[in-house]
Amino acid sequence: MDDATDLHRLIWSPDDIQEGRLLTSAFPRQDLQDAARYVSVSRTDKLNPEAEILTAQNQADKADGVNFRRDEAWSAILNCGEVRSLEDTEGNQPFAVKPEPIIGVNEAHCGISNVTSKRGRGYVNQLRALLVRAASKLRTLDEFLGEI
Amino acid sequence: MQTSRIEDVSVSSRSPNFNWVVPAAVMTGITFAGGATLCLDDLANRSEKSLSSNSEIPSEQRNTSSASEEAKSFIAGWQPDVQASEWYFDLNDRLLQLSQKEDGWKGEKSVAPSREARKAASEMISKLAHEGVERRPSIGLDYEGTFSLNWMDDKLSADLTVYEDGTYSFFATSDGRSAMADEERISEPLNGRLLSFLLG
Repeated sequence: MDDATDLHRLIWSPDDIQEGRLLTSAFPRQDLQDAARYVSVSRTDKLNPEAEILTAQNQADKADGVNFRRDEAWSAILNCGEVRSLEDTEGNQPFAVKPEPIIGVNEAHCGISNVTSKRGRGYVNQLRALLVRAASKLRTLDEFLGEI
Repeated sequence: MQTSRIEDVSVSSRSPNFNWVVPAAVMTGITFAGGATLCLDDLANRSEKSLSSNSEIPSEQRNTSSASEEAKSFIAGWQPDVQASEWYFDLNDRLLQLSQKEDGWKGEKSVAPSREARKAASEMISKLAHEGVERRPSIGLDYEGTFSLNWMDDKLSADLTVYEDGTYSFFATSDGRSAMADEERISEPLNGRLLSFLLG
């Protein structure tokens, strides 16, 4: 996947935004701590708005007592090349970005994973801080989808 | 010196079961000239009375018994002699709001914050205020039910996670310097390196 590709991170819980700022809670610790997991994003060059909404709705449907409200969802953009080039305090590049298409559901689906062997709590705090800093164009989901 | 605001505050969340009015005094903590101590039981009782008398809240949404217990548990964590920065009270308001989340709040297998997690977060917030941290953090709730405090401004990037076992982890960086820890105890003095970043 080309470094120039932009990645859309769906933030469907408004609690991951405070006073217009993206919080580190938008990037789950377990997705960065577990070698088999990744932070889900969608590449914008192949993104299908209906599939994006359906994915969020499916997540909400699995939650107890939660209704996905499209008007409360947000979008943040990360650049693929920028994420890959991020460095931790020891100069390592901890992130890989790979296509993870969900056939028939979300062909644009990708994953940002921690490819280091470091799984400590403090290190995960560092990774989340890096991703929040790298995120840009924080806007409502509808604003984002309207521009695709 | 922070004085009490004698007005009720409406607290609501996406969950329909937790839309209740709490006197501002319950959430802000009180400092009086001369060090007079406010009777905390009176505050808890007033909270319960406000809930039972508030006819604007549909009966199916009132949760008087758990609300008064909630108020008392939060009050127990308060230290009325804290001379706190402005963010202290706003942050605790948000902590209270996030604490109402239930299992599944963020999708499948997401976890509601436990009582211990809420207590630990409250203690951390108080500790930061005691240490004179003026930089305003944001607070989020993680998928696993832990609370995270963030500082993201032009100079400082920091993420701190509080765990229900009374420990915390953090990472902070500013001006090319950084600090990180996996397991610090809230009951002990705040990590000195972290504090230097937050006060700097």
